[in-house]
Amino acid sequence: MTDNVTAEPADGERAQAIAQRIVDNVETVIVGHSDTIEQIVTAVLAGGNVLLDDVPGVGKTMLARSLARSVDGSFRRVQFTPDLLPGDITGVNVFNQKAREFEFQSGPIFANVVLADEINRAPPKTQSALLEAMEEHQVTVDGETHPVPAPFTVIATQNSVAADQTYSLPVAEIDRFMKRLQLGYPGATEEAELLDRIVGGHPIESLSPVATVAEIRSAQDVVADVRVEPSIREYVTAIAEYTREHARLGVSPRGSIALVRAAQARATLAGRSYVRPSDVQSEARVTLAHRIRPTAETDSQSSVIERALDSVQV
Amino acid sequence: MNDSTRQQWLRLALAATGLSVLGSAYLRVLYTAVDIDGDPQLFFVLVAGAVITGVIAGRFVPLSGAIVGGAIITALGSLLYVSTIPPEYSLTLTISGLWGDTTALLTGMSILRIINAGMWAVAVAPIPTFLLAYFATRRQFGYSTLIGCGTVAFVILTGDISGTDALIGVLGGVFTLGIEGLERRKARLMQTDRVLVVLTLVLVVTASISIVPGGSAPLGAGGSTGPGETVEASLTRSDDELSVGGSIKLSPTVRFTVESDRQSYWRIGAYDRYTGDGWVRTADTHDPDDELTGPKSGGSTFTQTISPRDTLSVMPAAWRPTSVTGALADATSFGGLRPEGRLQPGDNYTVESVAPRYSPRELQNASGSYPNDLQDRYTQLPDSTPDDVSRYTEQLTANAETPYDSARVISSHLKKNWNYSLSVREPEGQVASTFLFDRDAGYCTHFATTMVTMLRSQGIPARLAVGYAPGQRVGQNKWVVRGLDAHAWVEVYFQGVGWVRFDPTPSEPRQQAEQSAIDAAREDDAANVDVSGSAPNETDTPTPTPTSEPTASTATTEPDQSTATPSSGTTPDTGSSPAYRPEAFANASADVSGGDGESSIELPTASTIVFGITIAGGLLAVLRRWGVFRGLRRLIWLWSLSRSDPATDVEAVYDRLEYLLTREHRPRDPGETRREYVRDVGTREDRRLVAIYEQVIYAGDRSESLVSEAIELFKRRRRALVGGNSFRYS
Repeated sequence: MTDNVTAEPADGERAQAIAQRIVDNVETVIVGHSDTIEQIVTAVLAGGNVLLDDVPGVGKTMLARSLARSVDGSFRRVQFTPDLLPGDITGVNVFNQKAREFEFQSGPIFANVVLADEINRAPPKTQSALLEAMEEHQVTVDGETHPVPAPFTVIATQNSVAADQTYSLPVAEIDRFMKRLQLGYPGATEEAELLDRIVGGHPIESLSPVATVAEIRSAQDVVADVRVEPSIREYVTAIAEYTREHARLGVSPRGSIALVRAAQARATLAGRSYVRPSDVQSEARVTLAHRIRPTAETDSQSSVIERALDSVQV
Repeated sequence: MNDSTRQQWLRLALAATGLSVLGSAYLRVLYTAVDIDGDPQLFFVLVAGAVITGVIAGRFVPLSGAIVGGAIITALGSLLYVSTIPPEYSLTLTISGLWGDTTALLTGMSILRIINAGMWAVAVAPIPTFLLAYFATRRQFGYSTLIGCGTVAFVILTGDISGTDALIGVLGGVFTLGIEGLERRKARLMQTDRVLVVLTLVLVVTASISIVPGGSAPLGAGGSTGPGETVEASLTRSDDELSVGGSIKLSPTVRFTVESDRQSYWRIGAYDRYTGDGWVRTADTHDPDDELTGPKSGGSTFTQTISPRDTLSVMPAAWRPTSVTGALADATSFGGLRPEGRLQPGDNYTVESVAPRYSPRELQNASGSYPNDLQDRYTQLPDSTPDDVSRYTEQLTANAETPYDSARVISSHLKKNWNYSLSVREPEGQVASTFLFDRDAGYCTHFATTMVTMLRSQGIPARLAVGYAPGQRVGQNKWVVRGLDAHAWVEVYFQGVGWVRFDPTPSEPRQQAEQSAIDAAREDDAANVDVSGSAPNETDTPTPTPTSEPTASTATTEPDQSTATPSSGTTPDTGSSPAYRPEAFANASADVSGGDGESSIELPTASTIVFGITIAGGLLAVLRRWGVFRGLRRLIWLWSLSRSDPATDVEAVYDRLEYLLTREHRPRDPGETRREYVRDVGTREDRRLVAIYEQVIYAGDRSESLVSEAIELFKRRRRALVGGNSFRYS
């Protein structure tokens, strides 16, 4: 135990430092959303995918790009349109005249960070092309399976206005996003600061990577090792059960898993090697709300979660 | 079986228990009637049948069907009742008659007074029982309780149910309702304590307020005596029921004076139905006795003038009165008189009576066969009368050839072998068998009741008569009658002769008891002990007591109004009279208070035990509601910290700290983490304790030093928060 005790804090501190570096880096570009930035960084550390859901122009894409730029890894962006085909995402097998055989031309999904912009503009068939990659970290084309690089994170954005020209995400797909985040408008001072920063040149152009892919991977390992005591697991389960009892569609077991892993990442970011109930609470809203279908039309997803957090005994 | 199913079954069982208690409350009353005059076997079969039918119907038959079923049972019951009613009472079968009967019952006429009480009870019992079982099976306990309590209310109105029984029945109903309420509100059975609290309240309130519904206050001839205290009060109420009780007193107050041509017993009335522990007059019907006619055998007419010296609600007269002048009077059944309203001092009235004339020979020759109706009515005995009495009488009268012989033998046997005493325990069970086999003393009611029972067991029609003994003779034809002259005796029917009086009570001891009561009263200068001429210094002979026990040879038996010789024909039974507890309810109160008999150690009765258990349960429930137990448990819990493994210890320490903080500030919200909570309400020490908690519980650091530190922190906090404060619990 003594070895581990000395080794773990070292790993944990390093992981915390990596995460903190990324957060700080992104914050140089994105103003006034430090919560959301932490959420998105912890999602990456927990190996999850993120759905950014908000009105246009609040910096969704900018946030995703900043994150991608902060990591010394590959970054691809796919603009979803109504005529986008699944093959445009995953890649296709192309016949090589010279070698006289089919060879796989990988699509934009093979990258460490994939930005799926305006994902709800594409038809469900195309959306579902993301599914396998998001869940299993691999892509199958014509029976051949190709692993995506690790770490792998899909950051999708969708507009919540002009919904008549969109395809809403299937329940199965939306469940595969670890978190749904909303940015919201910046405050008055933050907006002034934002305008100040872009005078001269956009700060994202000068953004440089602060973490390597290998560092991200090791940080992910640290996150996976964060201690989750039975009482914490019971707490998570109780919250999930509450939503199942009080909503038409409650939180799936996948949702519970996502919550635990997000809480682990949150603990790492705080420099701890164990999860506290507060970690669960601060991750519950973003990891669970989008999975819920409230019973009444007038009920909102987030209010179900709020009630669950208020009434489930810690 | 999971927890909720078990709770369901338990609830059902508890509700069924409550309903059984409720049901048995009224069934017991009805059974009493059946036992006295009916067919117990038929009763049990029908009641059991009603329960089974009700349960089956509850499972399969909708409400409308059950109503039809109830109607059919009612109709069948009515038919059964109607078919067995004696023909001469068929008048009562008219609608108005039925209405009248019902009204009479609801206004306090005892069920036992119905001519055909046993059959009536057999016919009625299945109706509520069926409906009760029906609704219980459908889990509509509210309706079940309504029906059960309605029936109990009915027997309360008729005055047939004892206070204890009624109370127990109603408690059963309340209990059932409570259980149903818990079920409706999906409460756990642990909340039964609420029901228990209510039950206890009901019990305590009813026990402390002693007005029992249906219990009629005795309207004694002398309004001055307390209920059930004197012989007279028990015997001479203008009431239709009489119960035989324990110790009694003698009231020396003068009630009335009589000027008469001849000495006589001043009779008030008679009772025909024996209930085992008392007497009931069956309802007035068209009894030939109702008319003021002279005896069939003819007799000599004489007049008495009676001057009340006190308020009288009865109208004593010599047997058998033919006309009354000076006061308005009704003839009652059994050849008695009843005043309209009460007689006040000065309301003198004159009665003309015809003393029946008969000789011992006539009585000796009277045949042993009687009209059926008369035989049925006056040889009735409760089914539960022990056979012992019959066997004993049979042996005693083995040599008696005629009813007259039997009556004489029985009378003298009782007179010779039993002592007279006013202070005796109330007979348990049947009066006659208790008196015959367990007692060696009693007073007139015991003697008379026993003799009637013995005669009836041999098929000889007999009844209990009540009234006043002749009293103190103060002049040639003047008598002073006091409260203590109240008396009970026996009337035996002889075919062709009519009712003939026998008095089985030993007269001398009774007169001594009476005299000493008078003397004591005189010494105390009590008011109204004497009228002019009755005080010892005014008259030579206080009480001439003719003690003749006429035998066949002397030609006058103890005949009621002996024709030939007044002096020998009357046995002045001065009023050493029996005291009765006035009501069935008296039994109930006696049970609770432990009885008023001379003895001694008695095992608590069933009802005492039920009372005790209920009250104890209620007390526990009250304590529980007040949180006394929880508070005590909390206290012990707060001050005891047993060590086991670090995680458990730290949990335990934190729980206690949170309890203290809850008392001091506020409880922790469900969604509030411990860290947030102590940050809000706790001190630096509390925050440190929670940090340790997180370290141990969430980070898995199980080092002893942390646990010790937590315990130290907690002890410091406990001293600060509890310290010298008095304990509060929540």
